[in-house]
Amino acid sequence: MTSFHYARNPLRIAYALTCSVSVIIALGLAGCGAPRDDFRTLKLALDENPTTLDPAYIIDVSGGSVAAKLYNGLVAVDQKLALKGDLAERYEVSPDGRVYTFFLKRGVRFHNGRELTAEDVRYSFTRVLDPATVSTRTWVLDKIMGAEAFLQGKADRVSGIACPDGMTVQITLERPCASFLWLLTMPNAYVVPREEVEKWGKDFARHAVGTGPYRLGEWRQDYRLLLERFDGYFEGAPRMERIEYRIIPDQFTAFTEFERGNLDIVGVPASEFRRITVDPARAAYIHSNVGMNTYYIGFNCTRSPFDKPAVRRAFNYMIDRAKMVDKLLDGRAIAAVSALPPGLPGSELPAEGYRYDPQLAGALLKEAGVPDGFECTLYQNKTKEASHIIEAIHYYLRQAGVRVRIVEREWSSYKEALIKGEADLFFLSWWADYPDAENFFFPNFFSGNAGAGGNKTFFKDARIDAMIEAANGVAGEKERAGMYAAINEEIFAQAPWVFLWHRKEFVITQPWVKGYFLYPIYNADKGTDVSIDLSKTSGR
Amino acid sequence: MGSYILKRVLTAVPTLFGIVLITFILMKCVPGDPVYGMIGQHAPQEVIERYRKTMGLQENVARQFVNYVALLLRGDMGRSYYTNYPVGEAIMEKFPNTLKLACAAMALAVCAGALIGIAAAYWRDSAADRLLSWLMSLSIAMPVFWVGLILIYLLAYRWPLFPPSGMGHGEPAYLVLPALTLGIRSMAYIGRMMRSSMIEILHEQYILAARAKGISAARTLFVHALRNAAIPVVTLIGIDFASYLNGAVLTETIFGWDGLGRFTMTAIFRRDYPVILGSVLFGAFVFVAINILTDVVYRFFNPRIEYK
Repeated sequence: MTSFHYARNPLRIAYALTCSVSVIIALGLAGCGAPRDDFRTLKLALDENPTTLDPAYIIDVSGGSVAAKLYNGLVAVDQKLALKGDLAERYEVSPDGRVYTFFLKRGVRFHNGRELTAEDVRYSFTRVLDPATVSTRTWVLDKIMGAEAFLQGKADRVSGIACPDGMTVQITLERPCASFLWLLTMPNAYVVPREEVEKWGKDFARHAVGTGPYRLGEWRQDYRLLLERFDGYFEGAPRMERIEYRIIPDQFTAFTEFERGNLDIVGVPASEFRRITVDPARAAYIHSNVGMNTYYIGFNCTRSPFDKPAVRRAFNYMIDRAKMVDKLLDGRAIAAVSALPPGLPGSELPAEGYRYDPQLAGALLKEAGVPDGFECTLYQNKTKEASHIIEAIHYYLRQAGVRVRIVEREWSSYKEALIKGEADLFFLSWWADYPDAENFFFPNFFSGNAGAGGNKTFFKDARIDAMIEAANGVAGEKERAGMYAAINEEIFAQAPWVFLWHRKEFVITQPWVKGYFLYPIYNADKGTDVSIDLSKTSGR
Repeated sequence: MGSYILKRVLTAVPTLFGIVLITFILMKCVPGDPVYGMIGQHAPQEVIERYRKTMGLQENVARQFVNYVALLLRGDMGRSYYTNYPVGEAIMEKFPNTLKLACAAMALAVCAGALIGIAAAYWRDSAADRLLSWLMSLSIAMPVFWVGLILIYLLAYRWPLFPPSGMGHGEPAYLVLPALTLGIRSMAYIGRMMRSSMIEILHEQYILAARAKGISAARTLFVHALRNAAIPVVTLIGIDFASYLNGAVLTETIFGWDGLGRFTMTAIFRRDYPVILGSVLFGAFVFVAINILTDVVYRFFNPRIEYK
């Protein structure tokens, strides 16, 4: 074996060089830990890029929450989840619940300087309904008289939208719809200026112009979105000069940025939840609320044995949801009693919810004539959290003698499978677009919405259909709440879902953040009240 | 050489066409429908049908493919179904970021990997060799996302030396952690390859002859031996570099890096066909270009190589 012995070791020279270069680079980079100096910008994170900022096409939470700061609708949701006028100074509803008259605020200007008129509202609503726009959210406005004919190309305008004068919009509905005002709070009903839409065409989202408190500064897709204060905002300019959203998909990374002081407000990630929430020094800066959502296991109600309510009820008794909330979710949710989250009119049931009772579950299965040890498929979206939950559910079902085959799919094919009714059971959640029970009942349990319409259990009950339709035609809040309670009770009894839990949202702010309020609905926050207390930023 | 490169470029055209065709067929075979992603959780059937028609998805697959190729021939990659953003423009925005990260990761991998490999070969069978080999095995075994999170925890959180994420305004500090995360595995592979290649070369007679002629140890090792030992390493570098230029999904996701990998992966999950096709086509083009470049670089290391 030949061996080499070098008088001078070249490797030492090479390593000395490498080390020197590394030290020089490290010294040069030391500046990156420099304290933050820009406190005129509110720094936030989004876990995904907003798909669009064009109101006609917004379907996602990221897009909706940013659009809320760029645009306004006729009405909006306030901190107490009640309706308030937004662009509308006031509104009137005719006694028959079909005609809505909105009186617009004067002096409202778009970011391009032009004053808002009633025609802008007509244009914006007509644009969403226009078949040429190909909006997927036509259902938000299709209750307006003449909307269907216009959508099908049988009319050249939407007959139910009228502008009696420059500052009044009158909307006539095909039939009374109690949730109509709630629908108008959705991003798809925001008002846009015609000239800007026509100027930018397909690229309007990248040059968004609205009447909101912030105007779009810069949008680097998938990386950064900058909003700048609109000094001409009709409710007074917001306190912050800018809002910077950074797109950070990983929760841990976003939280590290927060800990470094580079973000002002951030969601508490599951991995840090225990550590953060037990820290008394942080207690004052943690905001939490129960979101407008319900997590559930859905049954395919067209398939045996899940077409039998007794079997569905039995499954509700098989799962210890309280334990799962406590152990698996660390209390980041509250156990569900029914399909509605607490706080919504109609959410309270006269009876107690389904408790964990495997014996009763077994008895119900026997009563329904279901043989021991039957098999079924349980579909889940391929995420880490869903896998943990499904593991636990699988355990409970197996204990009850149900042999479950788990099918994991990533989101797109998962959704396709559910819409086509391929799954026996599936794990899913529903997040409301507006705080009204109708937004839970109509998409999820109305038989006409089976499949892509939202009713992925294919649940069909003529009586419940009639009750949902009747409640939506009633204008009186109190009467409607009573009807919702009755629907909720009926759905509870029919149990097309295993009602699991309602997720709580936990957000932490920096000590210097003032005036922050965590809204349970993503598009309610206009970002006008939040500010930074510079006296608390020293040393950062 | 010129005619060789031209020949390679010409043969690349059917390759790229084939890749687009295969990707198109695969996309249509896998379950999942882009329309269901775009409608949100609740949309009437007629809205779905209208949307499908507008996107041309109701036509047969062959027709859709022809339409796409016609679009490409007009120099257009289409627009994302979801964001309506022009695909070509998005790729051109993201590619410089991907290139920057790939170059940094590769520079790190090549410098450190080559030095480690040479050191391990030089101190062959010593404790240092065993330690370096163990470190290389460890680097290969560590999952990328884990390395990224550990680096963030240690170097951005515990000792805040580097920014945890983002790209800043182009400051090199933002590159360090993503480049380390991405490059560490390549570094280990290059180190291993360099070690075995160098051990072989160091046994060659011409190395002994060079030393006997009185050529310095450093010159023998870094000029005479390294040049020959580097040829298999260049192949490895070429493959890794081309792969990095197609994006690094996990690294980009963890560090919020706006690159092609995350862009493509998001599109795959959403079945955003124009983005998938555009990204795959661009990625294939990069692969072909890097392969041609690698062949040219071979010649630099070994002038005896002939191109036919």
